[in-house]
Amino acid sequence: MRKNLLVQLTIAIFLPCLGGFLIAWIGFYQFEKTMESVAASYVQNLVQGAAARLETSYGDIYSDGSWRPNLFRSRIAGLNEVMLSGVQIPGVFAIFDEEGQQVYGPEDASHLSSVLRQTALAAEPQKMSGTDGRVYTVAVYPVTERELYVVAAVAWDELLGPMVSLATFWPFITGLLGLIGVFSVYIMWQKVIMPLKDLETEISAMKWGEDIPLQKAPEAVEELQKLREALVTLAQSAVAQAQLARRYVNDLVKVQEEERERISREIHDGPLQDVTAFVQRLRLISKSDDSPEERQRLLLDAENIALTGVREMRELCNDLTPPWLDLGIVQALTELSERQSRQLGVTITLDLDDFIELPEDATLAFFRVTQESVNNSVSHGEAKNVKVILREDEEANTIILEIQDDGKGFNVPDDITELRVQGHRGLSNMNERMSIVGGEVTIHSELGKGTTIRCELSKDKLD
Amino acid sequence: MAISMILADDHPLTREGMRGYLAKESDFNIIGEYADGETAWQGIQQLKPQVALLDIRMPGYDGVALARKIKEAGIPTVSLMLTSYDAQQYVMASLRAGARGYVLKTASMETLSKAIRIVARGGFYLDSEVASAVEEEGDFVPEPVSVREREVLLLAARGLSGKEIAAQLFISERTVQTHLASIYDKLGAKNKTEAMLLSLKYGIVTLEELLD
Repeated sequence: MRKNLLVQLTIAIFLPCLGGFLIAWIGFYQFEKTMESVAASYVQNLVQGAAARLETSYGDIYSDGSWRPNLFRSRIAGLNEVMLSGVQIPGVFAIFDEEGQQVYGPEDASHLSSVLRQTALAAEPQKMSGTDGRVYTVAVYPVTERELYVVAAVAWDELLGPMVSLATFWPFITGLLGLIGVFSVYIMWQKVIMPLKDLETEISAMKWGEDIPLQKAPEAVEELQKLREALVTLAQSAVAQAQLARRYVNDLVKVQEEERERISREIHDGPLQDVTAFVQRLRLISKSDDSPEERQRLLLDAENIALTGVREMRELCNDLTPPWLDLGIVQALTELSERQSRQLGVTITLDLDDFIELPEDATLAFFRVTQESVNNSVSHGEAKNVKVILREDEEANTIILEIQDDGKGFNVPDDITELRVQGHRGLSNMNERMSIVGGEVTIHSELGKGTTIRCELSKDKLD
Repeated sequence: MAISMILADDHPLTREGMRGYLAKESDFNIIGEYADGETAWQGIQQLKPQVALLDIRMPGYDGVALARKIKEAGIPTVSLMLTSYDAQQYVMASLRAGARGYVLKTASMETLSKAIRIVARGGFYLDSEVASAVEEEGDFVPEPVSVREREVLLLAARGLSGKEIAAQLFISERTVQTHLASIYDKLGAKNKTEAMLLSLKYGIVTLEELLD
């Protein structure tokens, strides 16, 4: 079951902390009670024991079992005799007369007389805070037939030692832990859950390739901040890609329009002018009253004009899509190189494997790449010699076309795609031509050492 | 005796013009006209004309395929390509398919008539616009080609690379290039294909040798 992160945190951290806190509190009360009763019974023992000794010391027990006071004994000396028997035990006690005068006990115990006034006689032992900040349990006990009272007090920490501090710190520590738990859930909520929610909202509303999320989320934890930064980087590159794609499409459309314009202009300037001139000559002939020789001359003129038109249109057709491509790649490349060497004045050496046959689309791709390469070699590289190699690599099962020139060479850009947008379409076109048929183009060029364009096409990609 | 011929071309205007041309010659007899490769092939099989004037690009079989079918079927018809395309590779493909001549549609009436008569006699004709010699046709006699040069040319014509020719003739690749350059120079050719076509035209090699 999928749960909200906040719910999960509450269940996993907040509730256990709260539970622990409560249990500790209950434990503390139980502990406190136990300590109280231990201290009470101890103190009671102490006062009763002291009182008993006191009673004994003021009289004698006779053989018949009766007790009679011994009037010869001094009160104080008797007490010293009885009490200073040298046993070290926790707690203090003192003896007071009924006026509250201390008759026995350590000198600093005089304040215990205040207890006499506060506490009812023979009442249960009381828990009190001492002036020194410690917790005491105090008990009062009257001595039989004497107007004397024994008061005893014991400090808890003296009696119970570290158990007291444990019982005191236990709820404090657990409470603190509980608070820390609650606080950490709050921190998580603020630094993780809320930023995550924000990010989620932002991403779901985001248009990929158009929007970029906010760069900073100051309240978020570092990991989320990094995640956001990574997302921003991705979104930025998506935007850049989208822009590039848009410019690319724009460029394609532009090229198409330019091509149309070029064809239109060529037809207009060439064949259209020829046909117009041809029609004018024919009209001239039909209307002229000239001599047969003059008519003959006009006829010959008309024929020549028409022939020029035919040649121009043939070149235009050859230029647009050479019909001889259907003869196969070897013939097509041979014809191309012969035409190009004639038109461009460059020596083209062919090394073609006669047995290579390619489907139409691959033939066209290889043909166009060669055409473009040789054009580039001459127009940009000022090459004098170009070598065109078409061979099969049987091991790699690929067809390889290589166009090597002895031109100036150039610095090959890293991203050929970028070139198109910058207006250099040649290399980018080659790349696209080959990738359409599943091939690859690699360009190797060195300044002053010429350029090699290499196309590789896996035979598996051919049908 | 009149030369019987058929005309296969998918452009009606061109066909009409051609017929107009050819009808003016008294020794030409047009016995069939076809607008596509299939019907032309049937006509050729039935009529067995002396000469078949074939356009290269046609629906059905193209001209090159028709020439090949004629050769393979052993029909005594001579194929003469009559086309708008001046690509030398088309010329080579046609010749390999068995055509004995190649004339452009823009050729003069006299040229076409001459070509028909030559191929009908068993000769070989090549339009000068396709393999342009330095000189006007007829008068130009190329310098004689040496035996070695001829050998190199024939091997090159079979599609062997410079390296392979060198290996076969036990000479260096550089020598092969020198021979080829010398042949081009003598014939006035700009490349291998043109050298082959011109050497055919001047009778330096025969079609059979070249296509062997």
